Amino acid sequence: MKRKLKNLSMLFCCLSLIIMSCGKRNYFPDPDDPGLSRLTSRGYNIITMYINNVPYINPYRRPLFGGVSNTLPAITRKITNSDFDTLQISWQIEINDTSASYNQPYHSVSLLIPVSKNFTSHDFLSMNGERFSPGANAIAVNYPYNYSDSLAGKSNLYFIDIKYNTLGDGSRHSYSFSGLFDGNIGDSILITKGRFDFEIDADKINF
Amino acid sequence: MPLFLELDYAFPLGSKSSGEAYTLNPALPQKVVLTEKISPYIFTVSVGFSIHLFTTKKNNIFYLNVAPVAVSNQTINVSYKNYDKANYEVMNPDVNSNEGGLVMSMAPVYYFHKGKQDMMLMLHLQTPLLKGNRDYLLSYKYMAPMQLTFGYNFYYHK
Repeated sequence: MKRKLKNLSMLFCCLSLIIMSCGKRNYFPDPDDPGLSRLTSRGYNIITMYINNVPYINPYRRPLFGGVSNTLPAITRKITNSDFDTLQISWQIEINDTSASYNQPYHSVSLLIPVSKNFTSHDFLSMNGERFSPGANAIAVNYPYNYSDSLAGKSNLYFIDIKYNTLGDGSRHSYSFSGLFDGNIGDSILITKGRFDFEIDADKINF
Repeated sequence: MPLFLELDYAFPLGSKSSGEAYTLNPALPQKVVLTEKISPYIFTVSVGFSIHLFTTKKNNIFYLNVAPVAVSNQTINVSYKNYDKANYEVMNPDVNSNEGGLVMSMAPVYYFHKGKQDMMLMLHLQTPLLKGNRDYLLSYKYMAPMQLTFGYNFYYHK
């Protein structure tokens, strides 16, 4: 009986290892920009940038079941008291260097785009191919020790490609969007060479 | 059945394509189209055997060379002409690759018997690398070289 239990536990451990090791993180090194992934528009769910010349990437999840996947951004319309609401695209970041210490200087980055009060998904799609005027949008970074505490500055943003996709049998839909961004928060935080490529379910967007 | 060892280093004809590059810099056009140049090289080591198919009345011989297992390395260099790397980023860029793997090849060979020398005509066909799809989609695929050879056989007599 004891031996059977031992064999069963070994089998369970092996199966767990197999399940946990399935899947692969999306990261395609750009030969011209060390530490960054290439600019793509294939729904790889990856975002990379330099912050003060250090490469950052959205982290990946390794759930017990379901393999490895890159974390997705949150894209929401924030209602404000001003004449415009804010389209906020936020994502978690970590230094793109596995040898970096566990203590990360930043937790997340947000792109903040002023939009009209009646902003809809149709308006979002119409941003396809739009390079915004310099400084028209804001960018914010959040710190790991206090998520709500953020510093904001000016950003440049270019939505190179935004698409609405119908998946599988037609019952599911998604938005894919890719582009470039950079920005600065005063003189202390300089964000450069940012590029993103995401595909997220349409039902995760609140507009 | 005669065995053979064959080493091939090939410089296939390159190709040209195009890529789109984008910039945030407001002083520059937001999109430019670049000419992409793809330069391939192939090195293959094959071990195989020759199957004698038939001999004509004039002593012309037809063989089929078969290499069921060969090892090939395919190097592809990619460059974009006039690429301003400081300001622009190429969308879904192709990148250099250097990949190896197994291939199979075969070559029908026809020997023309003429006097003391034999002329030969060979059409060498090789499969692409026998491996799965790449993680990152490139515009070029693994190469399947086709090579037409015409030449003389020189015999050494002791």
